[in-house]
Amino acid sequence: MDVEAIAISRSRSRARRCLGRLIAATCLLVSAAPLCAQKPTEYDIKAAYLFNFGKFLRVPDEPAVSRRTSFDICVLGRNDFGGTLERLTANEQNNGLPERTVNVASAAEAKDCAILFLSSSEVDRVDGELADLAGAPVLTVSDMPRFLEHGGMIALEMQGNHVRFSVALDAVNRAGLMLSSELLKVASRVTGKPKGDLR
Amino acid sequence: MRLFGNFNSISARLKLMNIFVSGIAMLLAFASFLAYDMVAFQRDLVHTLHTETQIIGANMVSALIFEDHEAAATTLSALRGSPEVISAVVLGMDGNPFANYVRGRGIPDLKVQPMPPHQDDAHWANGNDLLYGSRIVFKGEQVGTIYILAQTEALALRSRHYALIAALVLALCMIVAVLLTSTYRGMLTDPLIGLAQTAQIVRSKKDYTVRARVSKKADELALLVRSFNEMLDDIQERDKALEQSRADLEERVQQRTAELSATNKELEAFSYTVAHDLRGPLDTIGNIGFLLKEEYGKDLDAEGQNFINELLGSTKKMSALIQDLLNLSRASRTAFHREIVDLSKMAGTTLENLQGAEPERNVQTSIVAGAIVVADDGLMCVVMENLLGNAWKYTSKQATAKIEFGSMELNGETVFLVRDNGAGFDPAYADRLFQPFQRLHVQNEFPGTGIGLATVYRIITRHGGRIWAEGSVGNGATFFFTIPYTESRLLN
Repeated sequence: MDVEAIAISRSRSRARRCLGRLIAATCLLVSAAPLCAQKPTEYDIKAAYLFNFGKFLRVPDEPAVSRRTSFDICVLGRNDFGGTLERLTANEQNNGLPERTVNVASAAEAKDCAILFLSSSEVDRVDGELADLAGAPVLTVSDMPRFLEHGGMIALEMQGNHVRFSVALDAVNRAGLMLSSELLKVASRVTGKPKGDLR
Repeated sequence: MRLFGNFNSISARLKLMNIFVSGIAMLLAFASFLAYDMVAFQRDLVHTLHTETQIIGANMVSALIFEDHEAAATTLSALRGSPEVISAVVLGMDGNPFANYVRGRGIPDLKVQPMPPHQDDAHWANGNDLLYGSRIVFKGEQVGTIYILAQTEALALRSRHYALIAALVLALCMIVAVLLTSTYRGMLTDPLIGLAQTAQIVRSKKDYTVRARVSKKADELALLVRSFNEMLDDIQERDKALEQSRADLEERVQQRTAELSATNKELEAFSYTVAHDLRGPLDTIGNIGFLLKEEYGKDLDAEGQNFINELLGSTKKMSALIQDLLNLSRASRTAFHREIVDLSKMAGTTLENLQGAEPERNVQTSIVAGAIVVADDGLMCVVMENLLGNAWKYTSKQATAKIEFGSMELNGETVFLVRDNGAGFDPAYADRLFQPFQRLHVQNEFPGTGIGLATVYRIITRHGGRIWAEGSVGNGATFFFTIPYTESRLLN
């Protein structure tokens, strides 16, 4: 199996420039990877999840979105990722836009973000912040408890040693966003109904 | 009915050829179908597996990314709908198995092969099975690898079905070929067999009137049969012409023979008449000469007596000549009666007469006993008188003359011989001995008419025998002759 991994990492020229990032991502996801010296932390995994949600996110075709010049993954509140998110997004592109990691101070600042992570430090202000973002095409993610009840879209939860997530489709629909059914397939819980059919 | 009959016959060979050719064609067709089908099946299988890995890979992406083993297993279990899939495995980016699928219990875990570089898909033969591998790529990045092991048992099953169908169709072909051969027979073999039979009849019976049956078709076979018939026509025509010319020839020969024998008869009648009519006046001349000599001889001087002696001598000679001519003519003309003739006895009498005429001569004679022939008595008497008379005459100058009449067996036939130790003859002229008026000795030395041996020759050949002579000058001569005897000749 090691041979396989090495063969894959060696062989793919198009992936060569992303080699380091790949290894990093793999290390974050898989604890047994031989190239990693220590086990990835909980926030390493959550950062990878945030990064990967972008791949399953479909943004609406509206001026607020087409104005964007970058695909921003924003963090509101205390940043617990410790640079992992920056390493993952560096030199990455999403739908032709360069990915960036941005720390924002308020919800109003986050209206141009593609994904907004609300840190658990925001647990007391979450209702107001989500209200500020109402209608904006921003995917809101948080690991604070009862995030979905507050009107959030994706809640990260710990199930044993695994990081799982739940999705509130009504909130996603309200923001005019769409999540790939692939993502919903691996969600531990999905509330609400998909908008229209599952195109 | 025997299936093939005689293998030497054309129809049996045709039948065999038919079956052989159709069988070969069938086998080749089936082999190529099977080969094509196998290739197509393999290709289809690869195609199917490609599609399956693509679909499952695409559905596996989120499970791989979010490390959801359960969702991965569920996705993979969709392969249950593909009966040819034995097992499948999905490897994560670390190369460890992420999800597994096996069709049933007791199926060992999948042994994967490393993916070749620069290829998103690859397949390997795994015994009778096919292993298909494909990279799972999401948004330009590989997130895992999927392997599917499929069995090709269906292929073997299909080959067996093909073999069965081939055997059935082959058997059917054979039956049809056998049935069709009777049709071929009418078209091909019947004219040939007819031709062969006709040729057989022509050869064995020399009957050129038979003809082979010609079919109405305008093919090479009909042409062959027609040519054969035309050849027979030609032969028959030539045969007829030959027969005609032979008949003509025979007729002409008969005509000529008849003419010749008529001429001969006339000639012989003429010579006989002449000889006979000459005899009367000659006898008168002789008698008058004799009377002249007896009555008036003493009145004549020596010269006159010489004239009369000369006259009488010539008269005697001429009489002998006429006698010989009559003999010769009689040898051909007289009626011919075969009877038993004792040549030994005849030779004894003849030699006694000769000795009686010239008692002063000392001649040793030897005569073989029991030389019996079936021949004309009178003619054989002429033969013996001539041959022994010649021997007597030509030994007249010998002090002790020897004359032998003998016989010997030569090549199964009896040859009689008359041998003397007389003057002999030059063998260079042996062929002239038996021609009339041909003499090898001068008249003064040995008087003779030159007709005797010609007469003998004619008599012997008239008996169907042969006569020839051997000898040399001064060493005597031997005359050999045969008188063939057969029952049929006796009856004639």
